[in-house]
Amino acid sequence: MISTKSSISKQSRYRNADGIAGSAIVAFAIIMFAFSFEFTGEAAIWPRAVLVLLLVLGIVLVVRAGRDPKPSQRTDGTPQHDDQHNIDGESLSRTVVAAPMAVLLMVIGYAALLEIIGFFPSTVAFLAGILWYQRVRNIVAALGIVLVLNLVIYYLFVFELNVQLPTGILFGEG
Amino acid sequence: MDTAIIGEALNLLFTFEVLAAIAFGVVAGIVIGALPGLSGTMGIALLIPVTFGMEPVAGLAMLTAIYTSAVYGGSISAILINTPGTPAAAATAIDGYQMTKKGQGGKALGISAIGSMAGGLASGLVLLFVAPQLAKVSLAFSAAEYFLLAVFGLTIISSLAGASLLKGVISGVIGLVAATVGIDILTGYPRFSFGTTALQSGIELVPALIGLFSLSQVMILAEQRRTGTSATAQLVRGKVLPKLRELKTLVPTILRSSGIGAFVGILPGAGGDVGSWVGYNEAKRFAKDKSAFGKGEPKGVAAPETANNAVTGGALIPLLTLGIPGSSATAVLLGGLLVQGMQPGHELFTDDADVTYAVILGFLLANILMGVLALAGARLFVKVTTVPTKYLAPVILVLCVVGSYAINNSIADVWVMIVFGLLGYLLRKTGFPTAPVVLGLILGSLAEKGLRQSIVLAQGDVLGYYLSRPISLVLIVLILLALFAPVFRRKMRGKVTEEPEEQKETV
Repeated sequence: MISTKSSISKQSRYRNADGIAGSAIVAFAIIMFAFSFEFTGEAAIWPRAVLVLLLVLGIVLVVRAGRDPKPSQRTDGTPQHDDQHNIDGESLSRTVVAAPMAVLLMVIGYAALLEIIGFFPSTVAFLAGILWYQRVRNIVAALGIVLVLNLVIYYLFVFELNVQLPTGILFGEG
Repeated sequence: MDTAIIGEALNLLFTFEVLAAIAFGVVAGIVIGALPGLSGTMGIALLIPVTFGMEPVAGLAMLTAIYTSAVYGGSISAILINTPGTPAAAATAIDGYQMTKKGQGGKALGISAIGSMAGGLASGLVLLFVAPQLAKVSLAFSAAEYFLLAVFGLTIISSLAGASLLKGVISGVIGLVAATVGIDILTGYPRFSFGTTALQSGIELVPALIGLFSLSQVMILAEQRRTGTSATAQLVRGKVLPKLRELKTLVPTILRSSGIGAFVGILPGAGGDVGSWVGYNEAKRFAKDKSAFGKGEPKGVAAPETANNAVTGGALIPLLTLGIPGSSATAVLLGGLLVQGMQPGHELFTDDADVTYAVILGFLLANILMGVLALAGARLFVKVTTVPTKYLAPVILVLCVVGSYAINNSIADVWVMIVFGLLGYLLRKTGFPTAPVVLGLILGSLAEKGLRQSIVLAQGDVLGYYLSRPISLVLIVLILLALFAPVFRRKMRGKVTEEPEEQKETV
């Protein structure tokens, strides 16, 4: 009985996820289509055709999510996973996405810091933050990662590949 | 094949830089493939920016070495902890893990290494001899064929690599939308650039690839923070190198799987997982004692491992000759090719023939090196794979950022990577495949340009124009076949997967 209830709840969650994804696709297609009104002549035809196709597919996904008794599965009947061997289709609940979103926010902060304090200081700050978040409490290991990674990047990108890594507005020449 | 070109290719290949790049690619590929949660696709995407500053042969040979070695690496965790490192190693886990349970984990790894090397070599030879012939076909292509080729590329990946046909197609169309960003190739009008100069040149492919395959992967790995770490392999028991007598019994299986894998690889979209399952199924069908499969039969390891590595060389054929990547890994490899300023097609085998043949010969060398290193260093690779993801994830993230930046020395590319990372994560969590997005992004402009030019050339009779061209007709038939492929695949998979499950129940 409990397992039936849980299965129904899981199916409804999947349906819900497909419905939300479909709605987001429809909204995205409409917004982008509105932007395409700025384009002139021939330049507008292809993007509009592609957006109309996306709109139709999004609507089909929403309708299917409302109708189908079970979540969308692989067309070949195998368990749902993508090409990177991770379980997909798991609900985007708050507990599931909390850590990935925290990681993403840290990467966003890192990218923003690059322009302010430059590559190496922001990399040290980012690594310190994310290693702590990942529950790395071994100070020697953490210091080793920070030091070795910075040295490898310096050698590979600056010394070998001549990449001008950002110096930042605080420490850079301008 | 011109022997002078092969001579030039060998000269390009046997330099310190190229050989070191191949050795690095092999080691990195095995480690990346063996770590559950990481993939060859991710590794290739991360290292493309590094290849930007390298000689084309060194850079491309390194990427193809990662590609083939990661496929072997996937078997390590499949054999030792019953967790396939790559989808292509799923069939290997059935008998490989049973061998580990019997204390024959070392031997299973050895068989996997030998099979992978043989399969990779066979497919490399097929690539060497078949690709130049197929590339000649592309000489007859005009706008109509390029449009249909782009549609074919989108159809195969959407119908075969995806979670569901609808979601696969949606992913492909999202890629097509992304490909429209930037200045219109024919009229010069800026589209969806929102007044920013960074977007006027379109969405940069490599940062998008890094975001889709690497950042999104780390975000998925970050979920382990909630659930705890995954299982890790213990020390390998038993001898790694199988006895000569045992090897002799595996030769027919290895030869059969080499052929199967190379053939499956040439079919765009079929991929390593299909190759390994077909290889496994055929080995079982030809076996005298079918009941041994699923209980630790060495042929059950040799067959899928040979086949999935044989797929790699085969899959490079449509990529190099037609620019059609049949999987996420080959789509990313196409990115590596484009970064070096090389266009797939007949030019690769004429103007750039020395580089192309050097890369193909490097691919053969990488397979030999992979076999040798895998046999000699099996225990070491197993140890490396026990490194927890909490240490790996920060390193990958920094490489995502610096790699995206390094392509154009542009912070805007880092933001593109972040946006595509979020997109990739959301798509994967809602069951959408990410590979078609890349295909849409790569093939979108080719499709648009081809269609618009062919409409002009058709002079009002578009349908008549398309149907009057033989290669167009062949491509139309291929598109229709690709659309029906999921039905065939479902039947084939159902047939193959049912039997091992039945066996498990009886054990």
